[in-house]
Amino acid sequence: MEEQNNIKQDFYVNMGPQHPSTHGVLRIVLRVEGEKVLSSETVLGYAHRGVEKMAESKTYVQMMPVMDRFDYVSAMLYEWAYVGAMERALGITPPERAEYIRVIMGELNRLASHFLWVGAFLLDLGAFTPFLWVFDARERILDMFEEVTGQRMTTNYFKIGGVHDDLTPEFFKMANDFIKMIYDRMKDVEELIESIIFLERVKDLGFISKEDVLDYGLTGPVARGSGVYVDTRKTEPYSVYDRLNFEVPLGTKGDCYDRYKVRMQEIIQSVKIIEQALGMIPEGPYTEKSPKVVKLPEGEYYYAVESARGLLGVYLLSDGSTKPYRFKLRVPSFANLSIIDKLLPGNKISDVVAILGSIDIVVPEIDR
Amino acid sequence: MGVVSILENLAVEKVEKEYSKTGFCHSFLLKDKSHIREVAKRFKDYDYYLETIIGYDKGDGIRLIYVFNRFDKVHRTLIYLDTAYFEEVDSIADIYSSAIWCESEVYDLLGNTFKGHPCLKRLLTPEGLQGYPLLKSWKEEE
Repeated sequence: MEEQNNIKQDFYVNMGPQHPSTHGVLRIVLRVEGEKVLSSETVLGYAHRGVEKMAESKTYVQMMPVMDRFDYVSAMLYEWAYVGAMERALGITPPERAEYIRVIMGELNRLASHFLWVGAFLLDLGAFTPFLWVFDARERILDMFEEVTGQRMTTNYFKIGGVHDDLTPEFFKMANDFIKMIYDRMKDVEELIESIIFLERVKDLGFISKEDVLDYGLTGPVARGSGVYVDTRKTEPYSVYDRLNFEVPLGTKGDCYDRYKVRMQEIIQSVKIIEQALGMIPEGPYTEKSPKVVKLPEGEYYYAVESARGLLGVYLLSDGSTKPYRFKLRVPSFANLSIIDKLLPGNKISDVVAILGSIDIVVPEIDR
Repeated sequence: MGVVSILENLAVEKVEKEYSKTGFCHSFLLKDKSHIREVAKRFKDYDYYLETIIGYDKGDGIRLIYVFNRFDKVHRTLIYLDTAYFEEVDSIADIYSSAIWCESEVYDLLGNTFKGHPCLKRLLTPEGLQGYPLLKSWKEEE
């Protein structure tokens, strides 16, 4: 018996594929010693639907609604990237009003995504109330989407040359009410969240250095939390972002707290963008005439947007027919998650949840 | 530092691409496959990150596209690498950690193996799947 106790055995904990904090079907195999994580291995593919292959047998237009189903919490940003790639190929420029509508809807979607993240992150850490507070705000955004597009999440709103429907007068009223309420709400939420218990759990945890950001190709709030200035809206301006005035919040240390803080500040910046865009939106048509049968000229096309999680790129290779020869997504969560196996070793199991949560992943976009 | 001077003395051929039409700033065809590691090293020295690796079946082989970019300003640069089917390519996973998953994905979907890759395995598709889905010759099982 004594001899048996002396034998050191590896102990494995399977986190997922069904686990409340993995936000989808992701599995992380943790090799642990007591509470301490020695190493980890991430297993992907539980939500793999083979969309890149599927795209080769669907026309460009048929793929449009599928774009909503990768990152279902910020669906419009995905539509934007896909539509952008096709517009680039066809040489279509959407009218001014459409560009502003896209910015407003895109930023609202970013807000919806960040709200969900704040709520879910705190829920992972054991705080329930913030979830309800931010979901009230998120609900108003979804109501606005419903008002304009008829859908709450998978909106299928963008189209080649513009958007499907114009903004309604009711939408402007809702948006203005939302902006009036959101600054105070965010102050309240921040006060509620940043208790000593929360700070103890997320500060000085899961450091990501600037070198790691480059090495792993991280983008979005994860990279900005480490103080790397990377934001597609600024470095590769698309649509009318170069006319809007906003800042890119940066962290300093690159721990979980910085990533949280960056997202909280981004919420405020997004609201500012929406405020400006609502004031600047011109009258006019909301869509350009688009071809009935979409055939891209031969060649390869790429369009990048800043999704809620980082740089999202859509690559289309066309052979001149109505279907793409190759369709590829450069998804931010894929790169961002790849660093997890480096971050986890040395931490406690309970911290795994905090670190994974701070990266903000959406599994269907990783697995595609 | 211009991209052309970064790639000096390497067997590359410039492919003309216009950013406003394609979204790519520069693109080069790498003629000597063994130079890919040197290319990656030089890009890393000049603070480029690896955005992604794209692969596709071009009918007579596989074309891999390494996409490099910069954080501070868009500088999206493509390196084309033409290989035969199932050919082994030098891995750049020890230079760019982001390549670990990117190369695994290429292996998973197209079948190219990577020499020196730390843990080449099926990343997205289930273990035990026969064939490589993104090949044009791939047929779905009934």
